[in-house]
Amino acid sequence: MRTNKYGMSACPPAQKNFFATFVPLIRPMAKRLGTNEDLILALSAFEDSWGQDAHNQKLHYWERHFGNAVRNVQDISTFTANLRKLGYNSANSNYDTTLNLVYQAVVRYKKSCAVK
Amino acid sequence: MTRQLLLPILPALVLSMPASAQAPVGTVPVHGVYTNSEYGFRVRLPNGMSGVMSAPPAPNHGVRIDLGPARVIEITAEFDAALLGSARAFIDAELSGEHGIKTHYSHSSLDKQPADEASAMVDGQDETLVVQRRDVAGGVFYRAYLITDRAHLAQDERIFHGLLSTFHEQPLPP
Repeated sequence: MRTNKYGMSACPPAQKNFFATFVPLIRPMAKRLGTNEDLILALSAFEDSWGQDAHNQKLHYWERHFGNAVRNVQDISTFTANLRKLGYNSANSNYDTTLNLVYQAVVRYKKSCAVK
Repeated sequence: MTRQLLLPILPALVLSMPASAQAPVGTVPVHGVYTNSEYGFRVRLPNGMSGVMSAPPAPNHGVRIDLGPARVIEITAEFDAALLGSARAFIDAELSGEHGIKTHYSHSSLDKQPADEASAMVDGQDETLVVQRRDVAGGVFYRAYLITDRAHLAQDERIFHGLLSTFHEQPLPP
């Protein structure tokens, strides 16, 4: 098992399982929308605590309602701003900061988990 | 940071809303007791006050109460998906985008359980942030946030702490 400088797993089981489950579900959706898949992975990790509630049906429901808002979006700022226009997380002024942190975690773990 | 983007438009938003106005686009009004079954908490809004929450099908993370121009209370919850691990780390992450602020940290509580509190002055406005991390479902943060101006500080802090005294946790869904 690969470890980081603290001796901890560089690819923790929760993240490994998350990518194994969600990448096959989200990658086709991201391709259909022309959207950076890491953004949708980040939102899934944020809303479902790294995949505790993975349902293909749920993702299709999300795509129907919010897919157009994030179509062709490649960066986290535009992604969050477009969802906000639809009332996404309207009660939380800190949403952008947290989602950005989760996005960075997704990018980092995707690399350390060697996700192709 | 959203807060910086949000604040300039809040005065216009609030001032343009008559008492009987509908909630802003993408939100629904909240009166009385706000219950969030997804993240397991409830609060009672002060008598005569209303808030807003995201309209379905957008996720429901909490309630926001607009007290006046650039004066807001937010009670929200989210998973620890950024893997921050502690309430203090969450507070530091939230305040990290602010520049030139002096922050005072203290201990607080939510529903009789320990929480961390931070008070900060940002661009002439007073911010108070109370955060608790519950060690369930990979970690859940409960966040209470007040931003106000010096003229309304005492009044708004009374409302804020009154609201926090009605905060109660509930079991999370299985």
